[in-house]
Amino acid sequence: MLWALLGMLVPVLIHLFNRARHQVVPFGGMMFVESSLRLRARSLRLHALLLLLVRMAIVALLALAAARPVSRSGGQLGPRPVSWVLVLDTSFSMLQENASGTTPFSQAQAAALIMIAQMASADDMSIVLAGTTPRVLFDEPTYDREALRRALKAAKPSYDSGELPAAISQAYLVLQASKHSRRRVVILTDQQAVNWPQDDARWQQLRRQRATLPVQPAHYILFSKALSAAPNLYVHSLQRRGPISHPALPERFEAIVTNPSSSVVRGTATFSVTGQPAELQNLEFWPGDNTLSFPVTFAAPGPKVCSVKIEGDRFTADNTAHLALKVEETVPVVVVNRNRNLPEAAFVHEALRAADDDERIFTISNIDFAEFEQNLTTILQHAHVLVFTDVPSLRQYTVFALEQFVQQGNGLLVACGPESSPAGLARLYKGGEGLIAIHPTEEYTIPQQATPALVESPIWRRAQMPPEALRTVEVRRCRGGEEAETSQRLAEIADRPLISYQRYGHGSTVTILTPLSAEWSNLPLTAAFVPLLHTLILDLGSSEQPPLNVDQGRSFTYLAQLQTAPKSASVRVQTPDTHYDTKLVQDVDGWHLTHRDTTDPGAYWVRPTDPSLPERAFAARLATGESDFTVLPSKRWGHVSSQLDAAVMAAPQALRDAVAEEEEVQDWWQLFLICALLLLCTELILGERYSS
Amino acid sequence: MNDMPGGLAPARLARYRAFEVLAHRVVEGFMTGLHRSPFKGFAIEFDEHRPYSPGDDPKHVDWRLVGKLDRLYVKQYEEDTSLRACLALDCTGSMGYASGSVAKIEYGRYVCGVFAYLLNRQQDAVGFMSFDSGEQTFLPPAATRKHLMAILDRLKQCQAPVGTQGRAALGDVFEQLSHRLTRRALIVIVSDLFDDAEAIIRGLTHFSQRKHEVILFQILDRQEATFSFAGVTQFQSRETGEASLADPVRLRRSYIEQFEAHNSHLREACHRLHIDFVQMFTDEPFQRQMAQYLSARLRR
Repeated sequence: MLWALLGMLVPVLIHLFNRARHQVVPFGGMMFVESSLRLRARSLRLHALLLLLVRMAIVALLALAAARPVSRSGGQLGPRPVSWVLVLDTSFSMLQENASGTTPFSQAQAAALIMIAQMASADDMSIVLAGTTPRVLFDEPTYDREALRRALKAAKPSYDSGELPAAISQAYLVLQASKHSRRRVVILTDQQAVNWPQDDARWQQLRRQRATLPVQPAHYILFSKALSAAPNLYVHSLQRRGPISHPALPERFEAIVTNPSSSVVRGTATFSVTGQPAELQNLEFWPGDNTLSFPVTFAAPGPKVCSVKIEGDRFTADNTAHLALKVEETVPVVVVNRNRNLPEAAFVHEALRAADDDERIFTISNIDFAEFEQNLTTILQHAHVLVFTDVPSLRQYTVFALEQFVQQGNGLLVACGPESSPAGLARLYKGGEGLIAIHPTEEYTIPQQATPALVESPIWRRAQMPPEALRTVEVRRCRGGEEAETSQRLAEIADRPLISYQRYGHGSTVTILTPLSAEWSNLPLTAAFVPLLHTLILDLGSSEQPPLNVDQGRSFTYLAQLQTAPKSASVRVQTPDTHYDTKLVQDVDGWHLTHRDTTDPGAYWVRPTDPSLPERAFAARLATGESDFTVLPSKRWGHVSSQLDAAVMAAPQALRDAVAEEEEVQDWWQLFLICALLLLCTELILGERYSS
Repeated sequence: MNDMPGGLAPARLARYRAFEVLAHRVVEGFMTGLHRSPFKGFAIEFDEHRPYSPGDDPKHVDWRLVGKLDRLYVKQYEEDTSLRACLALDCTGSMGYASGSVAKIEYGRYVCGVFAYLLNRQQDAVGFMSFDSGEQTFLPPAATRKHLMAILDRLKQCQAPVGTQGRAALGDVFEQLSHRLTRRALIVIVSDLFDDAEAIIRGLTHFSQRKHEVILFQILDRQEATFSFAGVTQFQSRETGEASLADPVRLRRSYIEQFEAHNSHLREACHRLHIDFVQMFTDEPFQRQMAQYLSARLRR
């Protein structure tokens, strides 16, 4: 701000400018002018000089006041009050437990409490939590010690990486509001590199922001020693590999455990279903990702939470992963035929039943199209998968209802037979944005064998038939046409689509183009395709709506679609560490509850009081980018401390000593401002006298 | 000065014909006119008798009284005399200043023109002198119409240009004029009187000593009295060309003090010397100012 001192030149320039641009007047009364000048020349010159000096001094003092200058004396800490801002690292790594069972976060909390206790009575303080998004607990520094202690004790780690430069930036904003001439920023953190970005632009921005502060704060970094030497194993993900969970179907879960270190770590992995251990594995975790597989057969339908927990490192906060799911009692499938007696209906029925192995996974209803349209609402409410063995002429309203049905997480399989209605096909295709991914418009004869496509897709992987089995079928005639961008081909003939799959909202659809061969009708009525059809329908029925698994920090919704009001809307929500009672709320979709606080990863259970309402399990996945712990190298520590001009220390005692030796700071801006005002008054008086 | 169009044409000056210029103090002259002579002479109108004293012309002895009273008395007569007047116009550079549309010299020319016309109309002899720092022009008094036209022509030629020749010494000019006029006269001086006040008073004293009657017109521009300039200004002398840079706002108070002191000093001196001191401003209507003065003079 001192460049503003150049403003002192302004009065001089104005003075010179005025003299340079004077007017010339040939005047009659020169004898009086000259005699007046002779009489007053000296005093006029003195006045002019005085005025000029006073004006220059006013500008200089204002510039100095704006620069907020401070002077430091070498003495001990004086009685002048201090504004503190504690930047508390709430990143995931602050949860590392050491041998004595304490975490860096608890150490930082304890150090902060000591600082609050040792604050001088006139000092004030604010706290900034450095999570991914910094959170300022006090917009202005407060004198309320008790409020500070409460806020500090209530603070929790954010299970994510911390943005310390962003938090320090917030601390500077808080200090803008400070009334004290001495300021301190104390950063309580561990030594994780991820929290201190190497981006020079960020640091420059921070330095520029600090330069705008009227008084430069003193910076201290108080760190808790991280468990840098120990490798940190963490569960990267836990996923279900089966298409649909059913007691009759063997289920398989895959957990990916990451070992970020370069050495093999021995440990155990325990898989449990709703708290009951199902499998324990003793393993060697190799550097990198390790995939663990857990085959499970559920004994009974209902909501479940599967968990995997590994043991083998000292930092356990990221060693567990949860997955909520619903084990289905049955999957309602409705087969809609142009004519109930056509062979396709029987084929689907038999195909599903044959693959069902008499376990009754599916509940199959077989209706004709007229009946479907008549009971559209009821059917769509109870069905989970719809199979159209041909495409009739669909009304606009029916197409809209089908779109809603699939969007909400259900499945639709459409076989586009030779007698399909062009209008119905067009409405379902909707220019590439509709329910089906292909719009059949042409027929061609091309004797070829069907070939599988996208064999890496989950559907093929789940299919109980090898993709190569398709090659045994020769297709003599087929249909082709326009293909939507969202289409994923599962099978094709001569580079033309045969079976396509696409996601639509929360659900999915499968489109089958019927080859017009002797063996095939609207559906591939051949034994080779029975497993494929079974897999496709299982996959269509596997969507979950509403989602049962959310990322940590996101909300989840319990929804009960009821025709009538429940006997009781009360529910108990069980969170990973507590529970609370609340009530369901009614809206157009039914009775629902939205739970927003999923800060803690783990299982959340919603248990209604009314037994007619279903119990549901949800899971919040741990979402951290900081499990791959890397300690900040000493060279980078030097960079960080030099950027902030900060003193780095490990113990609160060291901080206390450093603060005690801090130089006394005298703020001069108020004095400069008062002097400028006094001079301004002088200028007014002088100017008045001068002109009179 | 909207009431001055037409300049010094006699037809324009005729608007002042209702006025007369009367000399209040004794004026020499023997021609018939408006002015009462202070001399007891022997002309037409009887005034009084006085005892004969040796040296009196015997032809003025009233022999009838001798017969009645047996004493010698001489008859005395009072006679109207013709006025001798002289107009003196200051043509120094300072008279050329005009903050508005009318310069002081223009105003002064008109004053002289009016007096020349009125005096000529009264059949009084009127002369004219213009002076600046370097030269003087002088027309001796005469009462003819031709002479009036000559004065008016000379007035038209009077200018007060910006020059570097210096300031006129008004005191010396007045002294020289008083010596030129061998007989008593009415002297009308038109000037801004921007010179050393003591020197001016010294010059005026010469007129009084030689029994001249003086009317002193001080012609001023309003700006010279108020000094209401703004901003840093370079003031340049119209007479010497010298320049002074000054902030008039800061200088105003001192200027006005000097100006007022100078004028009041002159006014007091004129009062002491029985001189009419008339101050005229060029931004005020000439006709009104002139009429006011002449009316007041008539009433005296």
